[in-house]
Amino acid sequence: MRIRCLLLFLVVSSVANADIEEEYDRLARQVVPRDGFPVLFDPVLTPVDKAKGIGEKEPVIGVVVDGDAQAFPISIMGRHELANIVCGKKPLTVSW
Amino acid sequence: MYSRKIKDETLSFGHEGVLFKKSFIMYDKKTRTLWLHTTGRAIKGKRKGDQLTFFPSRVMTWADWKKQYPKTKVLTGPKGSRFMGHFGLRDKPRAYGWVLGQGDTTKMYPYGVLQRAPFLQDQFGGRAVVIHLDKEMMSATAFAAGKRRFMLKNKQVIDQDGLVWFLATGRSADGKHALDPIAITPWLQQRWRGFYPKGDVYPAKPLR
Repeated sequence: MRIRCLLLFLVVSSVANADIEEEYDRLARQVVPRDGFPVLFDPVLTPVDKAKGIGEKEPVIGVVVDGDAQAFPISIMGRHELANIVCGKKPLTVSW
Repeated sequence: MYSRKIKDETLSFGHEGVLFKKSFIMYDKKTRTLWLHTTGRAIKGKRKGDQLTFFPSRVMTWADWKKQYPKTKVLTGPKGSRFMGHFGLRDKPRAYGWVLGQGDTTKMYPYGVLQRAPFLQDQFGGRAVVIHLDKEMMSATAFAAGKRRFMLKNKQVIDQDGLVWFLATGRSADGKHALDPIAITPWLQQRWRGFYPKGDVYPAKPLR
């Protein structure tokens, strides 16, 4: 019994300390090709008065830096998953 | 949302197309290091161990956002599939929580706790914070409270000086004051626990 407990402890502690890279190599699954989602780089954003096709009740991810307000509709981010943006001179990544 | 600046270098991220622990993996264009989208941690490659910093953002309806920020710009273009562009938090809210911090210091505020009060005041990372959940949008905001203490009066959030606040934006009703925003991120509670086995959960469990 004592040996079993010790073995269990060793297994549990080795899992807890497992290196995340080893875990990654074991568990990661390629589900779509690399850049299968069209990731955005410095996308040109539309001024609010010219923006069409966004529903009033649609959720948007919003960010403001030094008065520069930018919105990313979740419905559109679902297509890209990632956007590399600059907001108020701050380089940011929006992910969905 | 993360800052792309790390150690004076600006990175750009691509999509590795890989799922790991139900989190997708990003790679940086410069070193091809792999990064976990959910925690911002570099897990494989030259930059392994580096950590991206969360940046405060929020989720609002387009109508509310425009009203708050009339000069906003917006991403336009084709939409994603129904599945990818779907806002899943509304389907099973109780499975979610909102998390402050990253790395060794994180704290989860479960939906079940946040939804009961109009806002919550707590200490995190040595400072006073105030957290607000917009139940309709399933979007939380967090701010450094400084010396302000908030209370509810006539359904309005006021501080000890009687100033009225909107905790969705962190701005005072008179538009003259703004709180310092803190990044707060929605997580499936179970998934978060998988990444942060030692992370705190609010409220702290009483000692037995």
